[in-house]
Amino acid sequence: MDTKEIGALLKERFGDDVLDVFQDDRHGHVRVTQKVFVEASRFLRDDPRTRFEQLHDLTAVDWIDHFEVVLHLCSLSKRLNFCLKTRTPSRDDATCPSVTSVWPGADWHERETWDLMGVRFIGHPDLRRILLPEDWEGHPLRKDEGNPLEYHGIPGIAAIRGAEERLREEELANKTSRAGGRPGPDRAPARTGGDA
Amino acid sequence: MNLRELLTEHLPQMPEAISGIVMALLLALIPALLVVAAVVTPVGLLGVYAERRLSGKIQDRSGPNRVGISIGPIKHHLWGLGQSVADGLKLLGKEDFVPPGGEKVLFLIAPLIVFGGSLALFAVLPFGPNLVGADPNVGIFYVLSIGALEVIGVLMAGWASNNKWSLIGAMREVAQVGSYEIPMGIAALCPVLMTGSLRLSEIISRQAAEPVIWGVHIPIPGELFLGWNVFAAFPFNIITFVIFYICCLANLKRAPFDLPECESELVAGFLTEYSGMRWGLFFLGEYAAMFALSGIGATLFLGGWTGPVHYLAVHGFGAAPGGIGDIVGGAIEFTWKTSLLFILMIWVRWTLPRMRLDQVMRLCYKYLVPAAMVCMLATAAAALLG
Amino acid sequence: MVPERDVQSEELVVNMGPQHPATHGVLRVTCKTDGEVILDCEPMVGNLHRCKEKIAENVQYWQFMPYTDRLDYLASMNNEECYARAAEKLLGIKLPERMEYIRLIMTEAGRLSSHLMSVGTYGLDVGAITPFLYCFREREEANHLFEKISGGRMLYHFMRIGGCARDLDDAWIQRLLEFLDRVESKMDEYNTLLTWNKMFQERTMHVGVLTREAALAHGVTGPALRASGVDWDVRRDDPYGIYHKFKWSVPVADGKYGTVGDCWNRHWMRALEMKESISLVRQAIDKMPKAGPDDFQPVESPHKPYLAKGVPRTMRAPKGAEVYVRSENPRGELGFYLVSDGGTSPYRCKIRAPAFCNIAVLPHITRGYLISDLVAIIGSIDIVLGEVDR
Repeated sequence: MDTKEIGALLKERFGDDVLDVFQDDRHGHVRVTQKVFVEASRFLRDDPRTRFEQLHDLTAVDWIDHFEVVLHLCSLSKRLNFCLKTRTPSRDDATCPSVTSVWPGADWHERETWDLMGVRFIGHPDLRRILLPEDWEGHPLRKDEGNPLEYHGIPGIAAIRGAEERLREEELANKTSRAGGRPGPDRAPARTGGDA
Repeated sequence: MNLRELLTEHLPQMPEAISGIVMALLLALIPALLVVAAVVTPVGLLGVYAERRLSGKIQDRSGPNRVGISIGPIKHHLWGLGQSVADGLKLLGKEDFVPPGGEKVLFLIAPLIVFGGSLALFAVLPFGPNLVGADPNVGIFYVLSIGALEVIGVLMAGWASNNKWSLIGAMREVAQVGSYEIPMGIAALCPVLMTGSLRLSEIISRQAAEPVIWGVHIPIPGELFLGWNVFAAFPFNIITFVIFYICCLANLKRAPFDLPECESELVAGFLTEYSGMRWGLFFLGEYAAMFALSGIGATLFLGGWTGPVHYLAVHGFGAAPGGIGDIVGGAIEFTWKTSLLFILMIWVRWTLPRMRLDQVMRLCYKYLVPAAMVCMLATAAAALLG
Repeated sequence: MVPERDVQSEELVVNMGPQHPATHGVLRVTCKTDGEVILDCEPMVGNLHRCKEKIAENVQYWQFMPYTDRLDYLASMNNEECYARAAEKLLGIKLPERMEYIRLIMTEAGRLSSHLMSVGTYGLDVGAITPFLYCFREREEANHLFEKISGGRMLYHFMRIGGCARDLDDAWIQRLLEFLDRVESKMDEYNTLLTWNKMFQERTMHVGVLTREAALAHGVTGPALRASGVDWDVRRDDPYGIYHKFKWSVPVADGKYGTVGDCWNRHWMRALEMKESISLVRQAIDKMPKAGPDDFQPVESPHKPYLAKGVPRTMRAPKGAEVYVRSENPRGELGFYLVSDGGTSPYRCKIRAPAFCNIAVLPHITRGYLISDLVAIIGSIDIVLGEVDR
């Protein structure tokens, strides 16, 4: 059974709430509305034709105007793989119903997605940061997230880059001045001392 | 000397008595310190060396083999014997860190108590004929009670460290060592029953006498194996000896009973916060106690300094009793038995995985205590027969 | 008469890690304990977070390859293989058959090396130090082998998108075969020393039981899943590469020893998988074809990689293309989800790390056990923090 057939099953059950059935030689997915997201998940898990016992992966992709939550499911008894997607209403309202009630294993995946992508999962029992520290600001995998300048006194990559560029400029300035005939301030005295 | 004598005769001469006691203490202290310097420290260092070297052999690697001697033209690796000394010196140079928030005094004296406890065991250890610090008439009782002193030190260390891992380690130590005192005491009673005395020298001399097993007189010298307590009440005392040895392992916190300090669970147990020489003292104490308890085991069950080597020295080379040949023969005899038990401890440690606390306790109360009881009863019956 | 009083007792919260010898890196587990009994515990991950997914979005496809080494740094070959396959699928690159064989040999040798480490350190976790050193002796030889072929002992950067760093030569293969023989001859010895040791069994059997249902619901994969009695191996049931051409058996716990899903069975699955990996490598070496004339690009200098014909120099995937590729890693199923926006670097790269999913199950299987068991359970789940935290 491939994605198209599973998509047909879902269409049969959820009708117009199945928005998109897509398959090419790389990947296939079915996109549903948020309204039936959890319902569809439970249907996929429990239906004897699909039996997706295992939530393999849960993540989100930042498509600028919305986030797309991507589930990769795996049925061990039926030897099926499947990708279920849904979209958050908008970028500002980055929410999605939680599937922890369907697959307990979604717990950490949803925490991670919240942590890194900032998608809030409604109904998650304990949605807090998992990989980043509790007091971190922002969600780094969002496309508009810049590099932080510092965290608790530790300079961020942006700050380091800025410092590097300043150093390089100074070095460049030094070099040009040396080419202009002035001896370098650090090496000149040693040279003259050696000659004397 | 009873109370009346003390009150009527000795009390009036108290000043002299006090000065006598002080003099005796001083006189005793100097040899005691010498004994510490001459016996216990080398034993500890050699023990550490033996452990590292043997574990290296067991694990198909070299172990320490470089640190030797280099004085002027004399250069030799000495098979790495200098490693323990070098490590000791390194430990001396390390910071003596006291964890903030801990009980400073307890933290500082805990290693001394542990080391002192194992040191005190050497006082009654009979290395050879006349080669013994003291031979009190409560010899075994002394060994068992002084051996328990270590628990106090470890508990102090664990409590004073202000560290949860240390505390858990100390609690394990109390539970484990406290429990294993019971089968150990019962097992140690078997040689006592055979001898009728707690004095170590009498236990040894009984094993040198002609063996009587279950009332059957065997007309060969007892020094040739059969007189040893391990063969008394055959085969029960062999079991007793095994029980005693297991209890020694548990009391010394040696693997597979190294729960109080087990590295992979409790970081380092009660040793977690220790550094420098205080940490080193724990280790020196452990190896000294290993040697001492091996020696006690050899004395109680394997004839102590009497045995084939000593027999050969006396009867083969005609060494006079109490003479130098007698003493050397006895010392060699004692050393090989003790070293054997010591090496066995090392071997066990590097072969077996660690047990869990509930399993350790179950082993003690469900298997060792009843088995030791049965052996004791059988030994008592054998003692009645012969 | 002494008045009776309630002894005051309270729960102790113990922090295990991030600096603890038995947490296999920088895992931190906060345990609520009553004495030594664990009432609850929570793994705190993230101490080794290195923004791998963010980095992937900022480098080109081929540049991300060395970063995958640092995921599960005990089985770098397997990570590289999975990422290379994901990128190849995304970019539409087909591999010559010989390259598939090379990949299989390298990944299975990597699995063997990784399991040697896991089995050894598991002994260390329960206090058996000697088997650990024996396993390390063998792993050292594996490291030498990988170093000879790739230049790195742990972090190889051997696989490339559309190829690998070097072709395998006969001398190397000979040495690999000798290594396999040696490991195979020693395997029984290690099992006697550890797996069949009564004390080891007492420590690990019936401890930390992960039921079949819980394993499936929590997304546990790899040897831990098979130890729970689920007969599932991606290599066999959803084959990739050329696994469909080989015959080998997938070890599954059957409850003959211990309880299905306990620590001992997880350990035992790894010990058995080592044998299967040895057999797979041998089969692959036997069957490995010579390179066809049009299979590979000519290697101009020893520093140039060994790439298939038709691998573009600039890698660009079509806009909107996405792939999800997974492989059976030593610790479970590693997955790469790559999304392209038509550029030279992935638009989104999600790494589905097996150890991340497996360690999440820890609180559910440790309640009621002792602290000693917690160590045994963490060791049996066999995590690598580089992968958990990414």
